[in-house]
Amino acid sequence: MNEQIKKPLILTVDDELAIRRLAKLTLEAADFRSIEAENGNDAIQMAASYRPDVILLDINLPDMTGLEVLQRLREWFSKSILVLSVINDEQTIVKALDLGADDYISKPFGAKELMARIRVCLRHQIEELGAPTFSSGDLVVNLANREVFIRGARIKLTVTEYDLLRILVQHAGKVVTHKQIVTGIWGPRAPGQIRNIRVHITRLRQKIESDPETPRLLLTEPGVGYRLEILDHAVI
Amino acid sequence: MFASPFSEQLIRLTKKTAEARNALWFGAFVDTGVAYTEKEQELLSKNLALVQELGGEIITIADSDPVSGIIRLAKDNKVNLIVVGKSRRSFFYNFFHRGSLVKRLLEEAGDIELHVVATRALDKTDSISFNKFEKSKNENFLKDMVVVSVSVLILALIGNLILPFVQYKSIGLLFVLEVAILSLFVGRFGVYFAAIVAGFAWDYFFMPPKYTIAIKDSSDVILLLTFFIVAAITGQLTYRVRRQQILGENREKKVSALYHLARDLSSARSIDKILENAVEHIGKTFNADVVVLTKDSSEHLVSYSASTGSIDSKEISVADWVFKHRRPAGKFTDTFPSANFMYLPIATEGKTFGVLGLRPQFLGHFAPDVLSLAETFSKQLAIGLEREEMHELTKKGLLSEESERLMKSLLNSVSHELKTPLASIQGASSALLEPTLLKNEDVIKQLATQVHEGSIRLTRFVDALLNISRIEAGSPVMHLSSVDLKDLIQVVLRKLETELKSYIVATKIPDGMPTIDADFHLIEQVFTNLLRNIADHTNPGTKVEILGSFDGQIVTVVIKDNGPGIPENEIEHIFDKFYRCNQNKTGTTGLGLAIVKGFVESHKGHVSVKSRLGEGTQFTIKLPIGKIDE
Repeated sequence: MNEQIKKPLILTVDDELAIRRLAKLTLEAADFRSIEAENGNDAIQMAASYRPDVILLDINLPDMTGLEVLQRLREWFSKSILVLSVINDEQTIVKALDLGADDYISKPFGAKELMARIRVCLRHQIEELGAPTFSSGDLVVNLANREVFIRGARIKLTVTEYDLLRILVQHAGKVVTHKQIVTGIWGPRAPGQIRNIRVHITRLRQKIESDPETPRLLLTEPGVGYRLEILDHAVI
Repeated sequence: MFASPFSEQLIRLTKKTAEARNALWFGAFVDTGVAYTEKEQELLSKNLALVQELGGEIITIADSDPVSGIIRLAKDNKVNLIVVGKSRRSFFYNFFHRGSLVKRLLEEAGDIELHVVATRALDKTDSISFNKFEKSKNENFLKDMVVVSVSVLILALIGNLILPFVQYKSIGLLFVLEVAILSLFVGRFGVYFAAIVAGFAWDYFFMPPKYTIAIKDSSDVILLLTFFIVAAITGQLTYRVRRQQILGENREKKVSALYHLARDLSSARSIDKILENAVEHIGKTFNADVVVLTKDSSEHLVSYSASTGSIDSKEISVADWVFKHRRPAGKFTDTFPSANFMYLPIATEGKTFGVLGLRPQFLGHFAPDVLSLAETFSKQLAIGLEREEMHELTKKGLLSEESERLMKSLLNSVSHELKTPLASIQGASSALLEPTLLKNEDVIKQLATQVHEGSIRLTRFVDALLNISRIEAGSPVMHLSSVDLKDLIQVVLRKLETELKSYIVATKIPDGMPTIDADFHLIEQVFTNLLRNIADHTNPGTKVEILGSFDGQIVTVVIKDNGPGIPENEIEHIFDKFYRCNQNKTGTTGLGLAIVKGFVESHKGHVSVKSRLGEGTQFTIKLPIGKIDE
């Protein structure tokens, strides 16, 4: 039986025509289906009617703020929401991520970047990345056995380092905020330990990156958090 | 007028008379240099205030003799009528002052009309206040007695020695001479005392019969009497001359103080300096505590730091009154006389700058004299302050001219930098709309690349402009957080991946490198600009080293390249706005390093460059170690 795999449906919400047009062209060129909305109310309506797989949501909307739309959507919409943000506006981005957004892209964005982020969201949706093992580039993580391999060789990590890696793997490809990391490792009531995280990240990089000075796997998203990249093939 | 309760009668009468004649009238005051008690001063200021209140003018003059003072005043001001009060003085007073005031005025007035008003008889106590021993500050009767006695004795001894050679009568002349000399050094009553003592000494030691007061020769009696008179008169005259001289000296001192103040004010270059000088001068001249009050940004009067006195809020309300009404108030005046300080407005015709407060360190300071001199000082001060204000305005005017010029050149640069990539984008995109061209995929790709590159260049330029304008507007708004330079450089290198593709970049930042308190994006821009510069100005294959280090206070990052280097004559200009090496280099904004410098400095850091032609360039950035604990 051939299951008709429906092409993913993406809803783009932005008050600027140029952005909507660009998104539509890019998505359709990548063989996705695309619908657009101009403002928050329309967005909620269309999300309810069409049930998209991913929503691209502009932070700055005319009628309601993007964050409000996000909150409303998250009351019932469980699929991916990607926030389109203004560059250097980390505060809003972190707020959005805390409110339930999956990831963000800064405007102006390139088509490649957009597609990469959408694809990561889709992979998480079909639980491809919920598997017990994860691999990216030289890194292989066996979540079931709590084992980590670099180029096949087992490496030792401290408990905190492993927890850190685990959280990043669970969100592989998506940005993880400082708060999410702290909560994930030390619990919801732990005070912000950004400095500590930094130290652990550095140590982790030294263990898993081929060139710790030029990380390819464990990337810093300044002001927001960190991202574990999904690399498609092993890096030499 | 004097500090007399009856002056009021006089003043009112004078006003009435002036009104009847439709004439101007003055209240005249002669400063004989004599000190007054506080009660007398109060009376005097009250009288002076009354004069002003009733519409008369106050004129003062300094003279040890009231009569000549009045006459001078009258002549100088072309007075037609003098109104004077007649009082009963003691006989001796009149005698020694060559007749009563009134009588002498009559004699010396000449053409000037004189009205004598019989004031009510002064009772005993009042007349005593006039006739009491008029002690001026410098007169100490006890000291004088001692001095006189000693000198007379000495002369007597000398006289005894020369007696064999001269007649005893001639010795008398010597005593007269001595009295004249002594009157240069002693006070008024010392002079009288000297005359008496000398006379008796002469009689006792020299007049036959010697060593008795008795006088044998009747002609000697006349001699002795004449001696007394001459000695007294000579002494008096000398005393008076000296007094006049002292008064003149005092006047001169005050004028010269004023001159010095004016001179210093004209050379002082800032408001602070001016106020400092003023406080110093005024304090010295008046032997007073000085307080200068100016308005601060919240429109309250505050005491300037160099003031030598301190005042409380009650005093400040007096000062506020003075500021508002532009008239003196406080001690020695009629408004708020119970205040501790005397306050004068520091104001020119156009503007009030503040308030000057004076409190003399000695109570005996004379009201009207102090007031007018102090007013002059405060006017000088106001002029000085006004001049400074003008100066500032001129400077501002010059600055705005300069900035207009810069604006023009900026606009030229900017419009060029914007138009060039826009033209490229427009051209390429319009070509893409040509249906014929769309057949060729290669061409499409090229044109699209051109559009892409043009827009990137535009974006970069606009960002640079925004950054520069943030720096220019003062300190750019910074969101400070704890920044890890290692992290930051990684982010920058990632962003510049394409530009630095063919470069050999090595980063060596020690693990323990402390964080800095910085705005992430601003510092990111700093390193982006520095690294991009290398990509723009050197050839592919160039080695780039990024080295980090730190000590107790400072974090240092060095970016080294072994590219062509910067010529010496250009090095000092590279941080200038819109400066570009090899001026034709397109795609560079000329703003990159200016932004680097601006941002580093707004983080209280420092950037420097070293370069040798053919060997390479090295940029060193120093930033203070961070204190934020996240």
